Amino acid sequence: MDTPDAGREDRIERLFENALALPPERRAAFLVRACGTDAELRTTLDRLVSHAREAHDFVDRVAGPAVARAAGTLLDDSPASLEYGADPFVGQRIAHFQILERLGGGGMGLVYKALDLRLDRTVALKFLPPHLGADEEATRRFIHEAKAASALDHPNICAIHEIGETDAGQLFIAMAYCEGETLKKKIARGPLSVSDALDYCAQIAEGLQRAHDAGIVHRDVKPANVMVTDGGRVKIVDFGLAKMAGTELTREGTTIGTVAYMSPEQTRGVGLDARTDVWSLGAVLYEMLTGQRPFRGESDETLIYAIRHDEPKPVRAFRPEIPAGLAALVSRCLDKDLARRYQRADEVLADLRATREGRAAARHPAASKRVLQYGSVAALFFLLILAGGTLHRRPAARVASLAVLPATVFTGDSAQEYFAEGMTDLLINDLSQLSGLDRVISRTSVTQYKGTRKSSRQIGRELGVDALVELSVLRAGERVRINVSLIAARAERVLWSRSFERPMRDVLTLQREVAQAIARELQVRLTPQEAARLVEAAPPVNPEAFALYLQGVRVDGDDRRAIAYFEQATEKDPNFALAYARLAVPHVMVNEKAEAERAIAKALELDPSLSEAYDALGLLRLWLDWDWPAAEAALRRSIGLNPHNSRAHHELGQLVMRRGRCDDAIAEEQRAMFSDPASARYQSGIAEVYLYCRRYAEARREFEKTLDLVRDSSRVYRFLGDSYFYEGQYQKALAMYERTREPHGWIYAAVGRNEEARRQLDSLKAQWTRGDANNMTAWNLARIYTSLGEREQAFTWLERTSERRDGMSVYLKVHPHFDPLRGEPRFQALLKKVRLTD
Amino acid sequence: MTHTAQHAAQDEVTRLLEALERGDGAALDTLFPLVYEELRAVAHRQRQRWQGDRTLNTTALVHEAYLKLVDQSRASWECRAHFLAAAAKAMRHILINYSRDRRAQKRGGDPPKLSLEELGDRLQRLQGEVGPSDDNADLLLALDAALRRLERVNARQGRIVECRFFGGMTIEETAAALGVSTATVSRGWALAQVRLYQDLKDEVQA
Repeated sequence: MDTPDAGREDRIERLFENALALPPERRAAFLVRACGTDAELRTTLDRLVSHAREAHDFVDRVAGPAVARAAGTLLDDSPASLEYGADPFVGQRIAHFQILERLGGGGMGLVYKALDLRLDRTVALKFLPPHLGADEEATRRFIHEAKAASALDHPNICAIHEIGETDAGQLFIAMAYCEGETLKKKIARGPLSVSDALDYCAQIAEGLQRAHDAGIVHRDVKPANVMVTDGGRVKIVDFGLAKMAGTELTREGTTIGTVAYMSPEQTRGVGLDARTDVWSLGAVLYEMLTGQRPFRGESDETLIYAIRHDEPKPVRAFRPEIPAGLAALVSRCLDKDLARRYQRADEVLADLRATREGRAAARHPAASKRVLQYGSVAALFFLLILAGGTLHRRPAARVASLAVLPATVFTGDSAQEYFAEGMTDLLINDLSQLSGLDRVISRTSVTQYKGTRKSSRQIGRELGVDALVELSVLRAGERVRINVSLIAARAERVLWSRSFERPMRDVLTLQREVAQAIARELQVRLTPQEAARLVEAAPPVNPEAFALYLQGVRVDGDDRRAIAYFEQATEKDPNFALAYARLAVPHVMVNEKAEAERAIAKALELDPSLSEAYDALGLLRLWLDWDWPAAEAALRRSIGLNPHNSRAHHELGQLVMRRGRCDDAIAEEQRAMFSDPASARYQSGIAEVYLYCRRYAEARREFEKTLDLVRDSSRVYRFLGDSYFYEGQYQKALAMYERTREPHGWIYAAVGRNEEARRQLDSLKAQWTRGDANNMTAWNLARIYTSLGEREQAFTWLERTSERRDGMSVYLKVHPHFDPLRGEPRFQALLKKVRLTD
Repeated sequence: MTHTAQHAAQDEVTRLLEALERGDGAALDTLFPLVYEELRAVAHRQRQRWQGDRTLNTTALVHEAYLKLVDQSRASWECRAHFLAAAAKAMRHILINYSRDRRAQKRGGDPPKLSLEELGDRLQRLQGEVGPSDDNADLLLALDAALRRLERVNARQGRIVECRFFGGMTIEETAAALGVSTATVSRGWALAQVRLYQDLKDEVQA
């Protein structure tokens, strides 16, 4: 930072932040302590803190609006300097349209973005080029376009609103303004993923089928005429050449449209029907998959020759991973023989769906009866392919353990990705509640299989489960569809496969439905409560609130952001019990008791059997109340509601360990590990239990395993150091401690290097004085003083630990480090304060 | 702007943003006028759109300029943040220059002096959505002067305010543009607001 005294500036920022985080009545005392003898600093901070509230009001209500207002005035006045290169239409008002900006222009006319002042919506206005105004045929074609296409109403067709004429007699069409990117632009960046290509192709086919049903053939299907919105919705635009079936608009021999995507019959200018669009659809799909057009030529003539006579290079020659069924589908769209080509867009659609669901295309039995595996793309859809498209139902009584693999999405966009993640979580959660299953793998252990190439047998073996659940999720506007397959892991056989669809607001019910179907399929024994919960409809949830909730879940660990997301979710949907429950946890972590209490109460009021709410309650009672029995009861309640809740088992394990009940603790941590074997948190959890239960060799064994799972191993080395330290193996302890960035001055005291111990004391104390203390600072000071034999100081810092409500106080009863102090009344007083005396 | 011109501008802007990201501070000097021009163009277009509306969302302006000038398929999140920061600076210049012109037109070029009462009045008036726009120009110039003083004390806080105020940037965007953590931006922003306020208050009391 290029300012004078950057260090001091940073310090002011931190102290200011820390002071404001405290309740108002505690701020002054904090500043006195933190500023020490620096009176000037204290005056500055006192004044800053006292103005904080007014200042924020000032910024929100005066300064911010002043900027917006200035920008507004700027426009009102519009000084000459603001005038900008003019376009004849931009800024004009035509009929009831205010023209905003030019979007582009094609052979068939200029396109502008405009505001429809009557209906207050944004539209695209397409003008017939003035020089064509005199051309009667162009005029007729243009009017025809509007009439034909305005009859079409389909989510994959860009709607035509109206046709009009300017005062000067110029014709225009007003159509829906579709924000997004053309497929042409997308392909220009390279071939699309197979799942995206399938998804877009299916949507185009749906739109085309709707048009064909209305007797309209597009006749100019090409990537430039397909818009993809940010949400992955496809809109076919520019039915500019569409014709009413039976009416021939084009003069014989006139070819219009882009030659590259034309069907052979179109190049001959003869009787066109829906099948010409099927051809073009095939050409578009070909290009999405390979990045190349199927036919090429130096000139229109050679291109037309190629279209009529050549076979395109097979798509699998470009990308061998393309499923055979899909390659066959492309070939059949591009069959020059009209009779052998798909006759209708919805036939293409049916085979696309079959491909997506991993079945062979209907007319290509040769591709079935094989078990195929695909790599990076949509691996899970295709994991298993069974003969004939019919699945044998087998009794599945042997399945007692399950893993839900991360859901895949059809489109590659990130909003869909996190939505799919959220869906996976919810389903795991619903399935975890079934006590009849022995084992349901939790989230962290399945994420590693996202997009995996491993076989189901291998995954099953690694996770120790009998069956896998594969999901694919498609969110289209207000509807959600989930395809679910249940796979016997060892046999690599699909046991069952089904699609579920519901409106977005019923997404929680949808998940229950899926869980119920799986339970039924596996013949899981349900308790009456479980059965009742599964058939009961979940309350509807506002989709926006749900999206915010999922974002909150994703920022797990970043408490402030999580609070913001969950709060917004509950604002959007005040009946969203789960969001309240999740909101409570970060509130606990940042020491906001009242807010946490409120959120939990609300969650339980909305759903008294919500296990997440009891998780949060347990954490609250533990960390903020030190009410051990209440915390334990809440966690046990959560486990009662959700027996496979690994987080609750882990928290309970830690809790009973801190109360000195080692066997219980080990059992709970093992239970957490059982459901989530790849979780670093639980692996470290069981290791810590061994450490504080003084089973040091076992602790080391478990910490060694933790090293494989974490990215930052500093904390693990500190624990390993501790495990040697308490056995008196100081040299080994030192070697471990030296690999951490954390304080470990007690080892120096133990090996007689007192100077080094004192240096760490000084630096920790400086940290404390600066107001930079974290929840370990006082605790570490107490540890070093204990090892130096300075009991008075050790107690002072332990007392500060509990005054600050640093988390570490909860370890007082079991921590080996303080054994030398245990006999003293001051220690008993401390234990009493943390409510750890029995 | 024709399509080709837009593409050429996009290429240039993207190149400059990449240079900025590599730490080439001089790129900002070349970038600035481009962004400045585009913002004025956007403002002009906005004027067509927002007839009669007396407030304008600067965030929307800045983002529209971004969409126009940057090829999204090539821009990283950091690139975007750098662009927004440059646009925030440009927006500040445009608004301050314009406010200065206005005041000069209306009553010569005296620097504005706000009494505390006036400041309070202004608060009342502005909340009531009325008040002559000259007052607003004064307030904006006073803010800018305070911001310049803040920049001398703490350059980073100055930039944070610029990004947040004039570019409507989020904490995350600001952090990416300045190459610091979001926690740093949050801290700086919290403190800078109070300093600006105190500075303005001290000014009118002096």
